[in-house]
Amino acid sequence: MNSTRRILRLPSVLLLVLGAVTLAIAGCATASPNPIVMTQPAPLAMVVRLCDSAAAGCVNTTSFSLGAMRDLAVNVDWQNVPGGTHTQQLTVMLPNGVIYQTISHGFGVAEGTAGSPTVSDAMPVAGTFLTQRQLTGDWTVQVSLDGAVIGAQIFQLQP
Amino acid sequence: MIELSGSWKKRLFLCLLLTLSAGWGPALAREQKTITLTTAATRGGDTYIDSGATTSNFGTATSLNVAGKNSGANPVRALIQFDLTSFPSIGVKQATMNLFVSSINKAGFIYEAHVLTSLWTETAATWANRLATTAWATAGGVYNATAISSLTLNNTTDVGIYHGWDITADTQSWYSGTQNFGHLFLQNQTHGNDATGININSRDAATNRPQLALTFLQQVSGLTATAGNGSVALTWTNPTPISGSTVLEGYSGVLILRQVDKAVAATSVPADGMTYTQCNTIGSNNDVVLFVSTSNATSFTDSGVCGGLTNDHLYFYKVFALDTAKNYSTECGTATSGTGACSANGSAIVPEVSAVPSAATPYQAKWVFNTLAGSLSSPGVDPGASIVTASNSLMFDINPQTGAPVAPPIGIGGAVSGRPVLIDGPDDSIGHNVAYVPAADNFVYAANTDTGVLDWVVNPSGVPFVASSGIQAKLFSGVTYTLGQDLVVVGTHNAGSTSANQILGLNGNTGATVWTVTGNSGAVSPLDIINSAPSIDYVHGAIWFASRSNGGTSQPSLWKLDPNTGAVLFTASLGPIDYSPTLAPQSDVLFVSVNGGALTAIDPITGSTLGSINPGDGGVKNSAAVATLIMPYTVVFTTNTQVWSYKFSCATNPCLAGGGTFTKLWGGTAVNNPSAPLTYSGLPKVYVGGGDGKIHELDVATGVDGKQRLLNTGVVVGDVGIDTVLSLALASASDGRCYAFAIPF
Repeated sequence: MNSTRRILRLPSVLLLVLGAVTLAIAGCATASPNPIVMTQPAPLAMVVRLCDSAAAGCVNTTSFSLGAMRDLAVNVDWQNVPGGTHTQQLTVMLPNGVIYQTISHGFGVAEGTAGSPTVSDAMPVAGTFLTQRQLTGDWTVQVSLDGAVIGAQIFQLQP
Repeated sequence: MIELSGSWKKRLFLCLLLTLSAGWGPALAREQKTITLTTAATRGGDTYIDSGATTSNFGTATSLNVAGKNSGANPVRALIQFDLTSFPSIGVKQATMNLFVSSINKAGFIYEAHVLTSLWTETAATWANRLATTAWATAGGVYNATAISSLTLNNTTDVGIYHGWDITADTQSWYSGTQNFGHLFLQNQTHGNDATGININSRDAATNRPQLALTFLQQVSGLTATAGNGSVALTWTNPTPISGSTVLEGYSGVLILRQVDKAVAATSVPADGMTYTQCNTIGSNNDVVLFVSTSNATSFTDSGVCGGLTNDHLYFYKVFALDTAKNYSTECGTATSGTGACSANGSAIVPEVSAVPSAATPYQAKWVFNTLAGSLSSPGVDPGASIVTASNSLMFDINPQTGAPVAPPIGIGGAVSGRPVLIDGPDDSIGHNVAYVPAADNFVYAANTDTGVLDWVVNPSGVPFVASSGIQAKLFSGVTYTLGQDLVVVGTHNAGSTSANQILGLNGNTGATVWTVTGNSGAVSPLDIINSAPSIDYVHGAIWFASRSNGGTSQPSLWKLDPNTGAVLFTASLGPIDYSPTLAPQSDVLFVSVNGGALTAIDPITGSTLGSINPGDGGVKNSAAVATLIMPYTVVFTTNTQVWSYKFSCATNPCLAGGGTFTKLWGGTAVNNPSAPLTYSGLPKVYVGGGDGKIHELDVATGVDGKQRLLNTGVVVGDVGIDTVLSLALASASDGRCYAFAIPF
């Protein structure tokens, strides 16, 4: 079980692709009155918050009782997402590593900006095979953006 | 109709080197075929969407515009999806989308292909909407921001010819667990914008329509295993080229991987161009190369090469087709494709089978099908004709005889938890074989199981579905059923409310909402989440739903509805119920499993409680099954760790409130974490999926757990289905596979 939030960062190469990079040509001061500036894009990052959908607010929790919870709310707080259309995919994996469900969610960030949206999804739990067949153990939710895996969070389902 | 769902000794010196020449064996093929997207294609389509005309659909346009107008403020984008129905089971080596560009306004602009991630239809998609009444999550289409490929076009030399975008990786993923929603084409505006852009011939054009050039290997078919004493005999049929395809290299045989006590991994892929010898291992799962054929063999008997074969252990076999250039039927690019990369589950679609050799009780699976997600959604069965299993966000139509996919999976928008409900053409009002599937994305889907085409898609309540639907077929309904077509009935799983869930009746032909029952609205009592399919009472003209009850018995959990109007005829507050009510064959008793409580017998006319039984062991779980045709009924049900059978009888006819009696016949028979039991009148056995990876076959008269079939180790087995025509027991497991075993065991 991991009870701490994780901040996950993209590989720097991907950042170069995703980020808005300002380029200028280095040269002598007399030829180019403006100083040369190379802006490093802010790194893409995210925090995953898991909670029982019935709970007020959503304080991150990574251990749940199957008998008590309703649905699993998965909130992903993004930082510095480049402008444009994006698809976030949650891949929820059983304790045996097999995919249980994937949840895709499209969202947009205004062009020319770096957005910090929160993308919220939920996975049904109460009354499903999870509770009927007591599929307990360490589950994993993996977060992808536009087809690239960004990070993962382990959570525990207990009887 | 609707259904309750079908010696070689160890010769290491013979380890083979694959040193093939093209002249060996019949020159069949790695194949190449170009698909043209025509108006006759039943799946797929094309259109364009215009930010300057956000509600206009251009599905019948003969030309697809792609442009970036006014500094990116008003772009136009094209949507294209190909129909892959003719290629249900292939390993994709390369896929190139070829589009005829009839005009190019400015030179030097980049045109990108992005994979779409939401379902859309050609006749409804606009800049604003993806379906008729459903908006894109982001206007202008929802897609992966990273382009799969891009081309820079010149406005003089590139006009009036086809151009190819490489979509190999996406196409491979469609065969290994990702939905196929096609591609979106847009103009990259990094270099400015071009308000006119390019025009591409659509499938409605007279000539030069969109094309998809596929290079692939077909899979072997008809894979069977026969277990013996210390041996497993495998047979299969090698592929023959698809009509009209170009043969690049001849199929030369197969490579077989074997694993013991677990399955061959979907990530275990023989690398194209590599030569393997017997007893090599592949992948982190250390799957063993058992056999390499270079002469188009169609059988092999595993008698224990490469480490031996131990009786009473489970063996999995995966059979890859192979060509003379040493390409394997995986979702991996060839060396000539430029990538050589594999999709995440590169061998998931490759046929596999399992068997348990034994001196006393050898057995084998009839077939094994990998659904790529362990949802435990039970397979829906149209006996002898079709099996539809849904897993995650895909629906699979499987040939029940062979376990082979009839068509590529049908991509939908959300996960499916329940058993798809199938009804065949002669019995339904829509006029063809159809599957009805509610999903967690708030939509209900109707799919033609002959073609894989979605008949309709509706979002009737804006909240998720977990439970299967129920179908009231007009053909089997009495005169009191006044609707003009079949009724699809669904209940919502809105976990955000304990009182305002809904039950909806949908037109089976169109998906239009016929009626809605909303909890805590008007005279309707509070309605908590619904997690199980309804029962249809054709005798009394009623629909029975079970629900949760906000944690107690203060609000109803059993609902009786009028199918014509949705009027609530009766409710009972029995405590939370997650399992479908079971109607006795004569429709004179309704058996209800209250979560962790008692099996309760309800009078379906008056709603009164006739009797109840709780044998302990944590109370009942799962729906009950009735094994006899008339009263007294033999009722089989499960608790946490056991299976039970009770006789239910009544002192009077009709049965009066409190007048029913449960008398124990047998139990509890121990079964680890049992599923719902499956039996019915005339079936002498009870089938139960276990938490021990097995289907258990119990004697309905004695409860003796006489025989089992091991699906896989360390897995949970879902509810069992029976194909009564082919005598197959079918179940999904938490390893993501659907298994079929011949019955009786």
